[in-house]
Amino acid sequence: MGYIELRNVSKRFGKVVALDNLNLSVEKGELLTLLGPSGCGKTTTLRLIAGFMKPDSGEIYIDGKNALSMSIKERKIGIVFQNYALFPNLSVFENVAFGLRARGESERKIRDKVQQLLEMIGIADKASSLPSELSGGQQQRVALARALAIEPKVLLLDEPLSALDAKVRNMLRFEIKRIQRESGVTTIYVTHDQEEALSISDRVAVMNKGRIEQLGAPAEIYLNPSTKFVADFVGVNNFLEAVTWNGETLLWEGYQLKLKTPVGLTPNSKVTVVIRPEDVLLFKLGEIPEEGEENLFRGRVSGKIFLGPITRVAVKVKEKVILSDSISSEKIFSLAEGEEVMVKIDTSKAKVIT
Amino acid sequence: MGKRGLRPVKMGERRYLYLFLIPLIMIITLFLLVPLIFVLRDSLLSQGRLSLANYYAIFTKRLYLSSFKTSLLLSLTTTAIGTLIGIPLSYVIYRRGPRAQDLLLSLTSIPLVFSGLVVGFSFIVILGSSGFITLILKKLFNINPVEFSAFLFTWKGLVIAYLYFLIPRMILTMTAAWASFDWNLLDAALSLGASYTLTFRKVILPAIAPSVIAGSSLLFAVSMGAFGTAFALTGTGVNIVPLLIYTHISEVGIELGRADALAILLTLLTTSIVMIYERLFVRRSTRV
Ligand SMILES: Nc1ncnc2c1ncn2[C@@H]1O[C@H](COP(=O)(O)OP(=O)(O)OP(=O)(O)O)[C@@H](O)[C@H]1O
Ligand SMILES: [Mg+2]
Repeated sequence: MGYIELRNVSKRFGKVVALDNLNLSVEKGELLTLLGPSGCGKTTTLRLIAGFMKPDSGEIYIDGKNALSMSIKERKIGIVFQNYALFPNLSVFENVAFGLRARGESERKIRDKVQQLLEMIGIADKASSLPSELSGGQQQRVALARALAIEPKVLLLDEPLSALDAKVRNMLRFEIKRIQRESGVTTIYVTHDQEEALSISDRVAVMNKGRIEQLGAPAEIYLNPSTKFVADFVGVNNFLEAVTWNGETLLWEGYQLKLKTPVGLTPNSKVTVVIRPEDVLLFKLGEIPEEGEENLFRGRVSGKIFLGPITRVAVKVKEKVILSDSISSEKIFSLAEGEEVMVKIDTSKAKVIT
Repeated sequence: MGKRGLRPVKMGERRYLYLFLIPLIMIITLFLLVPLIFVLRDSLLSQGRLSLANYYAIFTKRLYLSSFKTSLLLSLTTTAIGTLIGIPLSYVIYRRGPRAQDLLLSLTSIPLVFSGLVVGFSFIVILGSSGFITLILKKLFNINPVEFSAFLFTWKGLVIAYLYFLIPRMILTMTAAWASFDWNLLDAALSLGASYTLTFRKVILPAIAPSVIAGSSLLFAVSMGAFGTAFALTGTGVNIVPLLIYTHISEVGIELGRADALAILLTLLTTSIVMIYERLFVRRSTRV
């Protein structure tokens, strides 16, 4: 049994189904990310775990105990809100001390603990400031320190970095990871930023419409998405809608696509081939012999985005657009819109989703 | 921080913005300052000559002093009760969700559109000696209707009637406060282990204090100046300042100068109490 365990948890708001028989198990000490689009139920999941509301059905366990029979206070959960929710009338020190005071700790312990936390997050010189006198990043740190002060069993972070600019966000991301690792607190981190999720998590749970679509290590989610939704959400992908022909060949837009199909599929079943832009190679006409090559298609350049080290080119094959990433080079820059090119799909990297 | 203040105004724009204030300034001058100046001037005239006789009379006669005392008593009581009832009511209304809130808030505003006279008469119809509640109570508990309704025509009766139009004012002021309150603060406090009492004292109260102060100031100012309801219920039977002013400008012995002086003193008293109250508490509540 996981340290946090949700079993068949459902929650609806009127007609809206926020969580639909959700199952989730979080291991002790890990950082698990809930990744999903707006409205998929991430915040609702956190609020149920924190005890701010009750599920319509299902069970929640924390550290082996039934959480539904515990009060909010007894759950001992540290939570960081998207807007930080710092107490505006209390100083930084008093914000961090709030939970310790509420739990009746001694003045001495409060002073030591708060001081230690403020130093850890590098904000000790702001102890007597009001939250409104801090930058967004500093407020974020205070919110984290306030949540950690009670030495929570579980730390819940609801899009903690989404209100910050990119630089601060990237820096704080690793700081959160470091603090989480040092304190060893079991953490659920909510985000809709796939890069953030992949870079800091031990495991990622991709959510869609109140359910978990896939749960796994970041690399596994990225490389082996199990559904089209996950593939789409976790990276930029091409989706080729094809039908099976035989065990080695698919038919796509009338072309043959050489690709091992999953066993057990009868001919003529519909499948989706997922292929990343970096696994679609781009050639100028004449650069590669057209005869005898597999998975090579002729198309026209329909657009081009320069992304720094790589350039993404959209190629129209028949009426379908395929994205192809190449290392930025003079050859790629010289491509004109409408120019005929060849794309080769590296089907060894492709994934077939049924 | 999630909420940012308004965009700062550039110097050139600022001068331009003052133009929009001109109509407001004109209205205030025309309908507030000018009459006040006339009233002030007339209050300083006695038989056509400049004198403090009107003020002297007010400060020395029992009738006047006791009218101020009753006005203060009435207004402080209604303000306190109205505030204490209005806060939880507004909370309940706000927490009912947007649809119930719209309905309840429109119901709440109904008492505000009636003139004070209508409020007064409706109380007589309901609670007067032949009012229907009085008659029902007579049937049920065999009370004496005249004795029962007599209280309506005292300052205590006025408290009840005033609350009818004061509580909605408090509710409307407070609804805005609840709407702008960050409810995550409540969850944050509870989750950190605070009891409901501690959460109320340390988190909710500081956040709503400015609205509570604004609302109760409004209640106090409205009670001090209310006339119609008191007049309809008691005629001039209860000795409060607005009714006394009326007596001096309407009855046989018209004493306009006295009425003017009463008006000036009532204005001064009300404004200074509100100002002192706001100074005292706004300071305290914005920085803990
Ligand atoms: N208190 C509420 N009342 C009514 N509907 C709600 C409430 N809270 C959430 N919902 C609905 O439940 C669904 C899930 O909401 P939730 O806040 O959990 O999404 P989320 O994944 O956190 O989204 P976001 O990324 O936008 O924060 C949404 O459709 C939302 O509109
Ligand atoms: Mg959310």
